[in-house]
Amino acid sequence: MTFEAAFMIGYANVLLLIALGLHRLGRVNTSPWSSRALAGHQRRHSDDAPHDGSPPGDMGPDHDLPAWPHGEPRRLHTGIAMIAATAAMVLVVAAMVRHHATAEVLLLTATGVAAGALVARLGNALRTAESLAIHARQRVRRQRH
Amino acid sequence: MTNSSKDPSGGGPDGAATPIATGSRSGRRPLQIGKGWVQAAGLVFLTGFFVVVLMGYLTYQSSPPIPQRVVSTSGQPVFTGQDVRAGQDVFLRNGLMEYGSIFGHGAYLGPDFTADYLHRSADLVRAGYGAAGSDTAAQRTRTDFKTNRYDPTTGVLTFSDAQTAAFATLTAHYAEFFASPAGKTGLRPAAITDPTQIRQLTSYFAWSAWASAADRPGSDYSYTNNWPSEPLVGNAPSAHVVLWSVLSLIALLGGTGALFAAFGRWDWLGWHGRDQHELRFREPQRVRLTASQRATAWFFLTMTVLFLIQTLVGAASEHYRADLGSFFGLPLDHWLPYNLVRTWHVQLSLFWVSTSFLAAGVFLVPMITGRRDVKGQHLLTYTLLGALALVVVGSLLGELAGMRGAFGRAWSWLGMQGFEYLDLGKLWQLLLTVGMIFWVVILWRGLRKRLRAESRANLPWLFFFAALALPVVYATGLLARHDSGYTVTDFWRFMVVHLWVEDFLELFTTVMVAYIFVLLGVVREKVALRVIFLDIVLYSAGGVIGTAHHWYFNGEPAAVLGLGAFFSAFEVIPLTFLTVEAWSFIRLGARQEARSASDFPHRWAVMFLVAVGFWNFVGAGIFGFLINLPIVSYYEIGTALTANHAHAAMMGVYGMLAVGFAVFALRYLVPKDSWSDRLASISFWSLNVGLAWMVFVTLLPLGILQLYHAVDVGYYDARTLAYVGNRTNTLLEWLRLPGDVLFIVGGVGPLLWLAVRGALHRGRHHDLPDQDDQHLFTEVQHLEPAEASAAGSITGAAT
Ligand code: HEM
Repeated sequence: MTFEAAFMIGYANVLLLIALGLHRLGRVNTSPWSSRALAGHQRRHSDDAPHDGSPPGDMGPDHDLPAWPHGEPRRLHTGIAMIAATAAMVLVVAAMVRHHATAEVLLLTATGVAAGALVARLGNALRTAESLAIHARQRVRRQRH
Repeated sequence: MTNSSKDPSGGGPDGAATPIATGSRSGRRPLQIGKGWVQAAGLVFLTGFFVVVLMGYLTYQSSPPIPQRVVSTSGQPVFTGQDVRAGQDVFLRNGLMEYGSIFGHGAYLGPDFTADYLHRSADLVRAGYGAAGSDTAAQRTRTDFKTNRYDPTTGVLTFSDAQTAAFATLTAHYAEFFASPAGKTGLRPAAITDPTQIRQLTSYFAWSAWASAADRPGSDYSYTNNWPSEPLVGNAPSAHVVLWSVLSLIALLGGTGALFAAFGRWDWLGWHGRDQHELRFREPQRVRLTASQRATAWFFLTMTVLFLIQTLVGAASEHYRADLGSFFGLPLDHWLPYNLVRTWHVQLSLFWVSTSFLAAGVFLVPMITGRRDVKGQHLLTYTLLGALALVVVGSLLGELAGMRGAFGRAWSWLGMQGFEYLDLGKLWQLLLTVGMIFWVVILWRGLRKRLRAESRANLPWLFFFAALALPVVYATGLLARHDSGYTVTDFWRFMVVHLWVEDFLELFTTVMVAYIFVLLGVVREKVALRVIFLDIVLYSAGGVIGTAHHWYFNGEPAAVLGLGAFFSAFEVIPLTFLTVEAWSFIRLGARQEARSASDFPHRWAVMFLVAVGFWNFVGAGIFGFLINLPIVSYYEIGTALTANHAHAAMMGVYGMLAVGFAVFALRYLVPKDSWSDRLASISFWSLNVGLAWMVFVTLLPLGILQLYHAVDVGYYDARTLAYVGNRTNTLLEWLRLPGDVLFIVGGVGPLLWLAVRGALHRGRHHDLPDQDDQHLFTEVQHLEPAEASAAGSITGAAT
């Protein structure tokens, strides 16, 4: 296997891990009522915790988004994660144009398929986050009236 | 429930505007937080600066000497100290620090001239001593380079005869390289043809290579802590490089753990969970702007135009990396050589970001004071814009002409001063400093009455002090002089590149963002103050002394390397931490928005802050620490991993902030029917996606490959044009194109459109209420039903 093909395969896989990591990071709930950094504050004012629909701990995929703008970091993280996964896919395709040994084609294809699947999954997550954000905004408007 | 409307200016706890209820004997509003915060910040700040002064002293004491004369063993003159100094001038004047680097510092297309000279001369010396593979030849070569034959009493440095012969050969090599009429190097064809200048330049490179290999007196490592890695002369990482890398890692892990533990234990920021106030945000078009605020519309237009030009010249410099031969058939290097477009790219990045910060400062003053402009304020603001335009146009043209040999002896004043990031001529640098002082005067005039009524550690004063620090710290860059030794100039250069950018702009930014949140009513003044003081403590603890992470290998002693490695690790902690913190900060705003009876008008400005948080963590925190350990930096300095970090941190943090400030102000300046959230959204996503594409598709993989090559084959080789332009690198460079196009067209384009609308309209909103009001919200106090009926006035306000 050529060095270039091996590097592209390795790096594309690293990018997929980066994408997963960023997407995961975006699920951390940044509410002061669940942020670990503010544990002292939470203990002191536990009675005061707001009931604004903000879930404790991480935001699971099917959880409602917390109030604006706390859903936005999640969208940004997932958006950038999708770029990282797309980048992996593009690099793999570019490497495929240049390298045709059997082992290279097999590994590049496997990585490309994994990247494609991740792009699709992140795309779905992004769409869900977006519709949740719209829903959250509509909820705020309804509350106002 | 009931509500009672409250004017936020009414001496309320937030002190967003006048009149102010003063509570102290001096007639000033007392300090809003505990004195401990101020004392802790002062102590950490002073300690940091004490150590920086100490490092300055060490710099002057221990930098590599420039010998008066260099002679061969047989007594023949090789070159003089005068040649070395003149060579530094030739290097700077011709913009070579924006082409390649010296001691690892500078641009990344051309070679690192220290490593280049060292490798080539060592190769020649070894060849002179015997056949390749001969142990004796290898040993004699190492001895020639490692033995320090500089005599401080006479100022004479002795080169072996083989080193002397190598000097003559390399003078011919550099003559050919710089005078080549064919170009294809990224420099202007026949860029330097004068044989005297070539000799001086070669002397400069030879001196830097000597300092990087010869043992420092009393040590078994060189003046540059054995940088660069060069097996031919026995340069390998010194014990200090390894030891301080390990300690730096421990500092990061221990520091992060300690800070999280401390933060979890105490209720530092002193929030209160429930907030019974509902906010009514004022529609931006209902806020009557003052003439000085309206003048800032031209600043934001200027900012966007400079941003556009910066990205276009950036694209041109990127093209050189993808194809050194020509620009789609055009010989671009004849008119716009790489070192010129790279200089403009770097200078414009500072100019457009600063333009936004200056404008945002002016824009905020009337909101802080709640008053109309003082007389003539708008005229001063326009004068500032004129001065800024003069400096930008003058300095950029000066760089163009200076690189082509204009200005004679005044080259460093009017033309290309040549230090990367401080490329502009000294006159322009001086004018820029004066311009910033002038800006502080504008702020002072506007704030004066307000400041008189406030404790000196309250928000208005912090805003003023943070602004004042900008020209003061920038002015230290004036001490970088072309005729000083390289190590000394680098000390002063990084006062601007690191201390000014990473610490004082950071401070000013925190104060501005905190103040904007206070003015919008979404953060309490006390919380904002605590965040600012916490920021000062955390950033000063690491960032101030951490400046030394740029001085690992530029001729500073090992003590500076140790201090830099250890303390810069602390710089990363607030980046991981304050981003967590920053969300919680915004969180307060979120709750208010949920309750607010009117839309929050600054959705997209806040989105840019969300991006700042993201890139602070990824670009500054992760990519910064990736190259921060001395052992990594030893092989990595001046490679694409630096470019990776520099773009993700500089554009990701300060670029996004500058755009965020612009979007905030444009919301007031652009009429409602011309404002488009959609355009702001396109710009936001295009800038972020474009930046992420640039990083993940090109800069990060390029950097990983180059680092591997530097360790595997050698640093010298990893910096050659042949390596930079190899097949794999070229592919990665071309793949960057779609991201760059998106960044420019989708990111800058819509911003330019909004800025043009802002400049055309400049906040002249019709049908404004008569009163002259700068308040951005009204607060509606909710009373529980029992309290309300006791007060006898139930009006049934919505919650
Ligand atoms: C927002 C914050 C930051 C910004 C805007 C920033 C920007 C930059 C820029 C523009 C450079 C390139 C300098 C050059 O080419 O000479 C640079 C270099 C560097 N930065 Fe940062 N940086 C930030 C934070 C950090 C942090 C937190 C660290 C790690 C503790 C770090 C470590 C480094 C190192 C080691 C270099 C030197 C690389 C070299 O010379 O090759 N930076 N930074």
